[in-house]
Amino acid sequence: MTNRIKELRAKDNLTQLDLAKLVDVRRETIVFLEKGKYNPSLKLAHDISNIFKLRIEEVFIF
Amino acid sequence: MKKIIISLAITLIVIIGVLVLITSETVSLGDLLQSSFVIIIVLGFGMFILFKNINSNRGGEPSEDELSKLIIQKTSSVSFYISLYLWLVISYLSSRINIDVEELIGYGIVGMAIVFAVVWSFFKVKGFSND
Repeated sequence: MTNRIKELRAKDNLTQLDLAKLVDVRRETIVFLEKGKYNPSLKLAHDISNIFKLRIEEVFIF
Repeated sequence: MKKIIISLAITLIVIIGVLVLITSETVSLGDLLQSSFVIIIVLGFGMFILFKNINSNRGGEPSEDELSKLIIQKTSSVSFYISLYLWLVISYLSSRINIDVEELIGYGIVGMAIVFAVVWSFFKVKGFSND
């Protein structure tokens, strides 16, 4: 599974820490997600998609 | 808060243990060094985790999230299996080499702490890609 978090984050001018705080996780989790080293829970995927105002399948590519 | 209380309780137990050990008349320098080594490893790892969590809280991040919980769960289960084999090896060696039971238990505990630290570091670097 890949994702567009890095690209969307850059578009919205958000740092990894900003996004981490918005979805209530550690910055390290965002780093792992962007590197594809961690597949998020459905809740986290939903929260991240909500931040970018997109659907889950538009952020996370299966 | 709960984690800080647990960490303080462990630190207190360790300090009391060290004081009892130092004041004991039967303790030798070798025993003291061996115990100190175990204490330093356990305390060092504990302090590292504690300071990491305090720094995260200062930066506005949660001290634990779904990934850190998963890392701890996975580390615990994997290090448990490895520790079983470690004790199997120790019990096999104990019948072949002349060594005190207390010393053997000490090595076992140090081994378990090292296994936990190594497995934890491994998952911290490798991550969890379920593809």
